[in-house]
Amino acid sequence: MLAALRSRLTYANVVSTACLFIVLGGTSYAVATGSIDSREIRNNTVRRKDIRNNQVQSWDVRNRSLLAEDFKLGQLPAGPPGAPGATGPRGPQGQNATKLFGYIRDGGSADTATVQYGSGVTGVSDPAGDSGYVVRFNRSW
Amino acid sequence: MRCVVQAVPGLGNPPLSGAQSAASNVAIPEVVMPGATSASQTSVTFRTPAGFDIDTAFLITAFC
Repeated sequence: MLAALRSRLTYANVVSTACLFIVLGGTSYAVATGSIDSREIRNNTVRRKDIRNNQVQSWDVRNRSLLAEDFKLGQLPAGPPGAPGATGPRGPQGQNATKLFGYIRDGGSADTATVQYGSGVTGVSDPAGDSGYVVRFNRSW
Repeated sequence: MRCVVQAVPGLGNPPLSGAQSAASNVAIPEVVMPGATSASQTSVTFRTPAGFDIDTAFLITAFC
């Protein structure tokens, strides 16, 4: 048997066998030492459960890369209030509360009352017999 | 059309003139609106806190 093996011991067989051991040995060496790097991991295969809790830190994340949507609602502080807006246009002039008013003067003597000034008052009377007055307005004023 | 009428007794401004003028700022007004029978007319009666009728100048305002 040894003679048969020695008869096949050519240069080509020796070199090819050596290469086979080198290739297989290199991979097993990486597995044995635990030095798996990016080349040994298929893209997009590492999952959340593969990372120990509370291990990712600031320097593991590229600066200026996180977005607001990466944070839970209510976690990011609100920004300062914006500047006040420009003053709106002036509104239309409002209506008078009323145009129906009058200052009634009592003459002191019996049954005399007059409109001293006012708006929309068409007349006033002081009927005899009591201290009542009757005021008439122009409601279409 | 419904209205609210307010009457306020007092001296007023310009002030009353003449020795026979009557004015009181303690009179209590009683406003009566006849309603549909005389929609543009309002009756006002003033009484003292003791309940006696009194003549006075007054300001009257209608909100319609």
